[in-house]
Amino acid sequence: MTELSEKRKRMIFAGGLVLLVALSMDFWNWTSAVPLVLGMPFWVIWNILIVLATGFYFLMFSLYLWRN
Amino acid sequence: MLVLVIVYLIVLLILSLLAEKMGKRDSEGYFLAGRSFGPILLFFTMAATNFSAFFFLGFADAAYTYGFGEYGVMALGTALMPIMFYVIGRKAWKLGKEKGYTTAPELVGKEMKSRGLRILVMSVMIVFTLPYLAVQAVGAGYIISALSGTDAFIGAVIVSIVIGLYVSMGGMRASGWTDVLQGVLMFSAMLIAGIFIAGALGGFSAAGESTYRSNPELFTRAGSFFTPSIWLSFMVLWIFADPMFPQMFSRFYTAKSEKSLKWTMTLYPFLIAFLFLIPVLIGVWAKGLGISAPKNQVMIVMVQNYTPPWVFYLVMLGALSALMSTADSQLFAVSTMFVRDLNIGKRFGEVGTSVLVTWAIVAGTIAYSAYFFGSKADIMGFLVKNAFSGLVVLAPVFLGALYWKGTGRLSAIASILIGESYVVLAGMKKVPNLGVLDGIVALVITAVSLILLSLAEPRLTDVFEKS
Repeated sequence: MTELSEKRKRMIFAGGLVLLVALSMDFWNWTSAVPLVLGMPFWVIWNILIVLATGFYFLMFSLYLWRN
Repeated sequence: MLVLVIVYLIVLLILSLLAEKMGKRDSEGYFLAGRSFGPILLFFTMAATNFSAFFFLGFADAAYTYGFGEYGVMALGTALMPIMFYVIGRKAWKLGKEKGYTTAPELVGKEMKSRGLRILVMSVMIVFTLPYLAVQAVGAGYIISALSGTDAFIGAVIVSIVIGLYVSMGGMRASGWTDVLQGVLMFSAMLIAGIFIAGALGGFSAAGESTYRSNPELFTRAGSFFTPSIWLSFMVLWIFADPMFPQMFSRFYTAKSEKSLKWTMTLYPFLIAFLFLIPVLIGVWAKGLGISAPKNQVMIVMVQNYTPPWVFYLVMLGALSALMSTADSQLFAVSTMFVRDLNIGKRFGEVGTSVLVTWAIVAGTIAYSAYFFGSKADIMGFLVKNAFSGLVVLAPVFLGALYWKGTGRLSAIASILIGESYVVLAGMKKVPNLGVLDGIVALVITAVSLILLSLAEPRLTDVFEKS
């Protein structure tokens, strides 16, 4: 049971990593320049959010998958 | 303002003197600070080591030319890179503690039981780190010149000598401690520069909207250098190449516990999210304002024009910190590899030999800087085409050594040679461009070669032995 849940955790975190990479490739924003948010194109705000999400991903990774 | 620089350099030297007194002067104490870096120290030393001359000088220039896309290609991959703190760093830390490893080539060479592989990996690391080290000295020369009006080359010489002094006195502990001071200085200076320049331009929104009216091409990736394949290339390149820099890899060994590595991994993206944005904004705004600046000096010109003098001096000091924190780590990593991997520390002891090697490298760096000032090579192209492409080739072999028992010794050597051959050919434009960065093609070629050759190596060995 423990091994299964460990495997499941690994799969969830691997999926999370793939999702982060996929969301970093924001095709839907590629040709856009507007709307501007704080003087920046919206897709830059999207990039910032992905970077912050990566930080939260690593926090969860450290707490639940990476054991000493 | 030369006084400020002198005071700063003296503080660095005092810190390294304290580091020398606090730490043991044995090999592990000198080369790895006794494997004692806690979370905060490791985080600052990793970040300060990774963020280099390019962060302060080249980044704004690239944004000036290519626009906001520069943020994405730099920040997304660098934020994901700490996954390697788990994949490679955790294992390196454990093996280092168990078996006393000090350098990256030592780990791969001893785990694969191949002296030849160890020397090859060391050679690749040195060949691609030394030019990078010279780039930091070049950047320092520009900054000292902007601060005091002296010749840029003289500035590069002074900074190289000071770095040589504090590295040789305090070893890894001095490098780490000075990184904390330099990290705080560079992060706060960049933040203050962004706030003051934005204020002078009427705020973030006004500055951006004004630039959009004059240069809308900087706000979109359509039709620009940033194709989806280039975007993905940079992400992959940073993830696999950054840990292959010897100054980054050696820091895995310095962690006091896995907790240090975990916290560094977690904090890294939060720092990058905002810190990488500022030089990009400044570069884009500079283009909108019609600013004209010499190569790699967009940031310097903007700070000169749009901030009060004290901010300018603080920012220049921050820039100097960014350069020196990377350069000292590179210098120390290279001298450590010479001593440990070539095993040349018998006559004067490992620490004594390392000091001698450090000063020989300082002399070499000064000579290389002189050449660099003459050639005026572009910082971005130089880094990506040489250092990153060359070092990323090593990643498959490290992953093989740590995770796949079937990795063959000769296959590892052959795959590195194949990968580096591609890097050289691509650099000379002798192979067609595949629409992705050369480093990515080199990484794939090396990984495929390693797998195929490793699968074939036992059979080939049998055939040769029988014949």
